[in-house]
Amino acid sequence: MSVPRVTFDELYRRSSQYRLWSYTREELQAKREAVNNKGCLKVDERLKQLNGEVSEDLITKVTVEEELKLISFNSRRIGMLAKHLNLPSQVRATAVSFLRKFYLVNSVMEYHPKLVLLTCLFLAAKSENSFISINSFSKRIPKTTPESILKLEFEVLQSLKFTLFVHHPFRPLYGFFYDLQDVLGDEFTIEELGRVYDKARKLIDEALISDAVFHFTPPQIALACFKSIKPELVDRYLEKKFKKESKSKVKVAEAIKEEQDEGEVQDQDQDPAKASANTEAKPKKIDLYQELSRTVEECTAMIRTTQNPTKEEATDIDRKVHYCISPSLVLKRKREDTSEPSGDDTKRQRTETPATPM
Amino acid sequence: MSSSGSNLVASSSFTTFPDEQSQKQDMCPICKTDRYLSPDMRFLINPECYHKMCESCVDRIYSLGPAPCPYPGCGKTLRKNKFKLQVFDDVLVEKEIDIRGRVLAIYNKRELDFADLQHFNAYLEEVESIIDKLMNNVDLEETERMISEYKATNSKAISQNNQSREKEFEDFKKREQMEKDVKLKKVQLEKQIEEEERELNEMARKEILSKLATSQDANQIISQVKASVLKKTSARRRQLKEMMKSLSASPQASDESSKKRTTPFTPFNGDRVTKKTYHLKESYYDPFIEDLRGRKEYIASGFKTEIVYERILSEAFLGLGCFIDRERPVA
Repeated sequence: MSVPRVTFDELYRRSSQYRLWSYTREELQAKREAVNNKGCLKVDERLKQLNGEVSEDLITKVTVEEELKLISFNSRRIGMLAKHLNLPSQVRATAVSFLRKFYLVNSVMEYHPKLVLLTCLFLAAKSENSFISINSFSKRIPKTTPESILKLEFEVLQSLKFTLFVHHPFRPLYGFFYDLQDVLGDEFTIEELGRVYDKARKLIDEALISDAVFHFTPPQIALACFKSIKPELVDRYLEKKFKKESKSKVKVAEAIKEEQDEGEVQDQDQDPAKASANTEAKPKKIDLYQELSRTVEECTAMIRTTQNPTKEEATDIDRKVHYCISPSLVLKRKREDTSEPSGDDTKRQRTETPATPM
Repeated sequence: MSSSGSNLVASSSFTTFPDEQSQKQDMCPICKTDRYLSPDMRFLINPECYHKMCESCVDRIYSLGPAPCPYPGCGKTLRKNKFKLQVFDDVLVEKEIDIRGRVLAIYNKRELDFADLQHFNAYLEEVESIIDKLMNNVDLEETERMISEYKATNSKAISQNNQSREKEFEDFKKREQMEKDVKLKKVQLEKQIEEEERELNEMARKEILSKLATSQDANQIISQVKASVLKKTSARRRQLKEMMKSLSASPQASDESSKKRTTPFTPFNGDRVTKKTYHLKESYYDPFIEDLRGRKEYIASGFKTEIVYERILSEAFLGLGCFIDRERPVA
């Protein structure tokens, strides 16, 4: 009677998030470098089209790190913008995810993030079922027109490979809040758990801007967020729930093992001694407890490294990108510089900073 | 095709719009006969050149044997037996149907004949490109040669496929006929039931009258007769109903036996796990859900806390055991 069983893990492996948007560290780095190269080539092409009117040394191309900083900066801006528009956190998280995925396919030297982020936010609101009409959306954001937002919509969709569903860590966090009550209800008070949960939920916003979303699954990120707030809570939870030796929870561990074996139906023996013997009979299987605690530990560390570039840094990169996208502006600037008497520093400062729609 | 075409044409004769375009279409270009004057005029075409003309013209020109097409500048020699009814206004459609019929009679493989969908799709693509070439007169000779070559090499498979297809069609026809018969029988039975009831009522009336003539207690007689009639009618009705049931049941039974599905369909090739990784408590501390639980509009629409708990908890474990850095390079 071997009815094949589909485990939760197996379900997640079928999601587009796992199939298309999960990478190892090397893969991610390679991808970013390739995109940066593509962007540089594009800038060269633009220069060539101007027939050498703009010499190459006037333009500074941005590096992979600078691209990352600019994207992180703009991801944070999505958060502020979403708050301004009163959008739910699900929409905000999805928009951030869209933006970051978009720049795994395109370089900031091809599309300026300040434009793309608006399209991403609009699209996320649509796909997360809290639709705002394009007219009221652009009305509430200064210096935009419906056309300027919609223009990029297809590019974004295409870069996302039309995969719009994103699994966020919010719901797993909620789920673990419940399961913590079940597993550790006698060790921690409910007030304490609630406090930790609230703080961890805020931390998810950081996690969404880190690379953790590409390397870890939402439940792992959720646990890492708990761990960043209260390490002993998660350690205790994992130990109690997944460690083989803890006799009281052997049945749960057994159930998990069965999930790992995906499909193998074992006889449902209630005798814990036999159950543990059963798990020991498979030494080649990875130890779930150790693997989980290692992964959560790594994820916690990664969330801690989330980039938060200062406004000055971002403006600096922004200017470089601006000239990369439209090199002819450098000439204009130069002409204005020579015609204007130097010393009018404040005015220059203002015009030089690219207008930001905030 | 041509047999089913005749009723199509008959029904298409109502498309006589009074505008100029259709007037032109409703006139034979050879003899200038108008549909207005001869309402049962029919247009015929020949698959050689697809020039249309009315039936009487075809009779007139081709009854003595093959003759050239009367259209100026055409010059193709046509035969009377190749003429057929024009079903569609657009002759290009007619042409495509002819070509399609000819090509598909030769290229008649089915999905079962291929190892996988990809090969089948490639085959379909090839067939379509052949049809397209013939339609647009591109590489005519080469394509024709290709078709005849294919026909020569695969003649056995072709005839086999054609036969099996015919058989399928026949089976389908048979089934259809059977269903029709059953329906007809049902209607007849229903009619019979009605008629018998009417007769019985009539009989009862007569009996009452005759008995009343001889006896005194009117009410008793009436109720007696009525009871006996009711007994008869209900017995008869039951009998007829059973007959009806057996009629409607028989085709269904044969249908069910043909469908042999032992396991229910599951989109993920299997069912969800029965052993959960979590233990569902009766209630959790959660002011938000607590609040919803008490509201009338939520209770009325079937809000159940267990379902919410279950969903929230299951999402916590959706992908917990997927270790991307370990799995990805292998995949």
